[in-house]
Amino acid sequence: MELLDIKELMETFSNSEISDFELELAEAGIRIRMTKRPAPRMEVASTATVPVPSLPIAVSAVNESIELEQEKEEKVPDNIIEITSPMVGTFYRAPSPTSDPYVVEGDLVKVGQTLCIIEAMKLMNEFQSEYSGKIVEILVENGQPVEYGEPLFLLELVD
Amino acid sequence: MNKIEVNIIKLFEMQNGNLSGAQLSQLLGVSRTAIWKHINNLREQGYIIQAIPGQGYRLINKPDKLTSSEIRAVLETQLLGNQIIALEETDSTNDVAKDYGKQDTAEGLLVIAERQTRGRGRRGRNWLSEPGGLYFSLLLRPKLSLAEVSTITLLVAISIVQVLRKDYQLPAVIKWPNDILIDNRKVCGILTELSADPETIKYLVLGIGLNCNSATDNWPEEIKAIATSLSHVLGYHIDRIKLLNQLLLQLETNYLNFIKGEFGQLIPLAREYSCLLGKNITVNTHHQTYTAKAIDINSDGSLLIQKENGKLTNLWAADVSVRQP
Repeated sequence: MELLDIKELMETFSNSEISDFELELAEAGIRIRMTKRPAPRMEVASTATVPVPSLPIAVSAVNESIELEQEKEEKVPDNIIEITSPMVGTFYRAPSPTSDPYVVEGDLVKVGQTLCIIEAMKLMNEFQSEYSGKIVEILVENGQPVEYGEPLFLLELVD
Repeated sequence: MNKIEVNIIKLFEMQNGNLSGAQLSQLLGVSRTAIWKHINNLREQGYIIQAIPGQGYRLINKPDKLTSSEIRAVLETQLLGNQIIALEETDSTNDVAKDYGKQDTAEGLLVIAERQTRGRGRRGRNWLSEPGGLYFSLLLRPKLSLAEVSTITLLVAISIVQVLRKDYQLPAVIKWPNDILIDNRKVCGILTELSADPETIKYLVLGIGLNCNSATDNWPEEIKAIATSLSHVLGYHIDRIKLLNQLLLQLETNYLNFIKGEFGQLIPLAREYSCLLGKNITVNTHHQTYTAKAIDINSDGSLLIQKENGKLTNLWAADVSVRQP
């Protein structure tokens, strides 16, 4: 198969109604796969004016996101888990202002142990741990408003 | 009180008049001698039952006691109160219900007490449990997400206001999120506690404290200024068990619709009954106190306020009060 043939194939594919196309030429050891991205809907379709992002841009964007993920993974070791807030509300570390906090940094906690209270509209949620481990860091202040999914604790898994 | 005695009381309440020994014996399928014995037992328990020759028995008065058999005799609910624990005195009915929640007790359990020695409000605050009130907790196990269940406190407040307005013609309003006020004084407080991990709700306990027949005359002046009781505003003693039945019936209807996702009027009713919207309020959070204007109740139940700098904020947890002009 010549390069020209592939070019022609691509043109035929892009002008067709087909959205996915796969061709395998076993003896030549070539496998071609083409997928159309859903194009923005336009009333007047003109191939010349539809901007198509060039390949290098897409590649660099992918690299960037991989780099970011790697950076994040380096920061938090595998055995450290972020415990996040299950709801919007106010974070309290103790059942009442005069009582001791449920947990302090360095505490070992078990599955089902209460870690904190999150209050929303006078609903006091005694939030329990899904994991056994050591509380290495408490990330929010007592009485602070928290969002859904906001990290509250860092917990080191203990087997 | 045994089952036959519970049924005798039920029949008296349905009849609301005289019942002869023969009628009772026929309706309950026991002998007239047995009826006579049960009537005497009831009298010993504080029921005033008059025997009128030739006309039968008449229930004159009931002991104003919250016993489980007395409650069971009146209760018309299916789910709420399917199990009843009635206590003369306890630390806090919420704590008792939570203990049952940690075990496998089914939802619907009602824990009620004449007196609470450590009745609690928000953030460990004391709730004054005067004699003559209704202090009870309900154990529930809704199969809902935390986000879905968070408006249940509004639902409880709405249910109570519906009963007070409909059955007692009282101008009850809700101070967000769920205090109930009459004439600007608190008559009922609600505290909901739940235990959950991120995936499931293990149990939820609704705690309700309602000032019913409390003699407000004996209250300290500072309490009189901020709280009241139903008997004080109505001018007569109310039948607490009848009120309990009305509350649980309304709450049960609303709760069953709520867990099916069919309580569409929740937020409109929360808005309609709110005493805050459009008013200048004082907001107390854990860290600060400031003034703002209450704008709306959002679809998720939070309170939309406008701070003095014009900024709009959603409030999830705070004490708010209307600023007196």
